[in-house]
Amino acid sequence: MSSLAAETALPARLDARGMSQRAMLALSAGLMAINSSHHPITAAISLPLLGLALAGRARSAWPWWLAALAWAPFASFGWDRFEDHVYLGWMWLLAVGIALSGPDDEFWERLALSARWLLGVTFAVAAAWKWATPEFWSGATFEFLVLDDSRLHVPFLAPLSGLGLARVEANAALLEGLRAWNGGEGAVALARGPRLGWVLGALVAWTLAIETAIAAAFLAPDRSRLARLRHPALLAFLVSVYAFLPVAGFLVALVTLGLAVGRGERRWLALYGLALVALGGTALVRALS
Amino acid sequence: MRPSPSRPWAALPALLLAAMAGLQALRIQVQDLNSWADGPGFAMFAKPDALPARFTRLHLETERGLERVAPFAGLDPAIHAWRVLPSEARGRRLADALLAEAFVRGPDGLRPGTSGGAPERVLGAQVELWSLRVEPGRLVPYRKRVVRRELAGG
Repeated sequence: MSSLAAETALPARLDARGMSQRAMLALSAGLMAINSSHHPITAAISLPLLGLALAGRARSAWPWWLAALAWAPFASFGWDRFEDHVYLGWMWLLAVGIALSGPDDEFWERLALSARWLLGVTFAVAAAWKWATPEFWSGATFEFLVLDDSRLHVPFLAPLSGLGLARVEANAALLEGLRAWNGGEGAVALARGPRLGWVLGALVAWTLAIETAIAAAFLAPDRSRLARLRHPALLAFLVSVYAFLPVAGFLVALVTLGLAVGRGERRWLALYGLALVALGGTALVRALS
Repeated sequence: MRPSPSRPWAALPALLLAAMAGLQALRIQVQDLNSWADGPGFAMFAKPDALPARFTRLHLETERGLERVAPFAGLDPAIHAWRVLPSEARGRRLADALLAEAFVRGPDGLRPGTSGGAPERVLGAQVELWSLRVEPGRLVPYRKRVVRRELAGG
């Protein structure tokens, strides 16, 4: 039983391992198969690893280390083809190799430790950028994002800001006009809804709070009170971000690492699995509609 | 609980990721690299000046002066590269790709090709990277970087 579970004294039924080592290995290899969509030639690394993992033949550290090594030239020299979560996945290959290099009964402990540090570092860097950027604080970044990304217009910006869809679309057309090859060089006035300032303020406050909380919770020692926030904070982040802006690679990476920190226990498998299915399903429905 | 002998190694992936993120932060600050993607920066949604806000304006120099031209499909990779990392070298590559085309003057101005208008003598090219600043109630475009190339003997 993990030390964290011991502290929280959960019923044994919930504490039981719900996920096999083989399933975790298949999910980890699947993550890199998704990441290969950024640079299709890397599928030559990811798909054989996924095949081995699905067949239960990737229980030695070597396939993972070799895959991490094979990704190195692509990640190092093809950086402008990869988003940041691909690097998180790349380091996860190394982490799985390290976890498999020890005794079998230490697999989940090693994996959980690597996942915890990787999540802590990822969110610490993300939060640090936002704390250090005045345009983020002022709401300017989010004002641009909600205007630029049409996925946010109907479910988010138009109703919450009080601007209405017609004026949101008129603002978006002004933005498109400026970016056009023959667009103007002067500033354009944007219509602003009565509640836009509140919406932007809430977005800024929530993002800073949740990213900082996740970084602190995952970097804090296992026995600290902050550690109890790990899964609730990560799940809240997943739902609040990926319900609106689905990024499959990052979603699967965070679910994989969250499950690893939870040592594959049944309760975390249920919650992260539900989040993955619900958010992935929502993204699919929106993409098809 | 006895500390596991595996603990230092388990932290290695996170240490490497932190080192990569640090290098990327340096590139974003020093080289004006796009911060929303393109490497292990983890700076998504922090700065508004990122790939979606960056756009290019292309100009050709003719005997009438500088004239703006529409981008065409063959330029897409060079335009994307210039928006991601607006270095002098990438700007020159984009300008040279523009100058490698033949242009004709049609009723709507200059366009690439050799038919449908009078051939135009091009003397040089100027590529500009623009970005957008959001101020309360307005969107302000501003020029970030300009690279100019002239045709030898043009």
